Amino acid sequence: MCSTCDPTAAVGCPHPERDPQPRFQTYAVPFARDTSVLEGLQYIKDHIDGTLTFRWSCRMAICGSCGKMINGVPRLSCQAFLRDFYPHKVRVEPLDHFPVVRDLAVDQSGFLDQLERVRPYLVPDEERPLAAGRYRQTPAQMARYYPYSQCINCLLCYTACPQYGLDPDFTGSAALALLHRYNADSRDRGWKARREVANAEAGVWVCTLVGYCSQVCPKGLDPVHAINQNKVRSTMDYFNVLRLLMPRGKRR
Amino acid sequence: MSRHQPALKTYVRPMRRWWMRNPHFARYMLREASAVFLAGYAVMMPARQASAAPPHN
Repeated sequence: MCSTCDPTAAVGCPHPERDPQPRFQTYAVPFARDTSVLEGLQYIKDHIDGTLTFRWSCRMAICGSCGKMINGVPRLSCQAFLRDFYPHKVRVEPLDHFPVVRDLAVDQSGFLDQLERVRPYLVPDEERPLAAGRYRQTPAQMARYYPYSQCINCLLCYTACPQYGLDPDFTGSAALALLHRYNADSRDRGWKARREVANAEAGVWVCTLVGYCSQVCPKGLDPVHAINQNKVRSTMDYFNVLRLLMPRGKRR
Repeated sequence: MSRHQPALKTYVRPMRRWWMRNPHFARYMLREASAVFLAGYAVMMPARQASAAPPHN
């Protein structure tokens, strides 16, 4: 592959302050075999259009900042390589379903609100003094929640979810997967607080199993599976199954 | 919606004809539509069986 070929990147540039409708700008970007779409965008910003706005940080699929719609598919731009699109154009757009602030940067505050609501931290039954030592878990207990703790909050699953696009109040796949991550943790007793979110109208029941979120997740998580497990729990809550099985109340 | 409203004017892509944007969504809609035929079959099957059953003596 030559080092200075001429693929072009069409970058969606909605500038809501200036243009009522989004417009596309086309740029010619030289690329090498290892040039990612993110590096292409950085080239545009450094050499062609310094006003181009987009988020990025680690460049190695860890931070989850650089998610974009690349040829209509939600992907991390650091994980997509220009060589894979050559000789066709690459169409880069901001993430679907989120308000676009400028160019490729979206407003993430809706997601951050949802994340806060699910209490993404351990809620123990009672505070333990440090002197009591570490919480211990078996490998099997850890395996129940570990895959869901890999979420990097890249928002690709929200972009892949038509339900979130139709109903922005939906808690969403990443937040619900994190809710499950903590519910499935043997050290956690926070379901009482989290069930308000899971059982709510905008909770797990909004999910209609489209399943595209699990397909686009760059970390291989399965948010649909997490949501389904909480649907079972939500149903048990509705019929008060635990109370029927344990009439004396909560487990000690 | 977020309780933090952005100070800048924003743009949200409309959801019109979203099921045509991605083959995965088209397959999902087909899967959902199949429920209509399944429901129809579930209604028709007992009705046909009832009509085909021999009369009791």
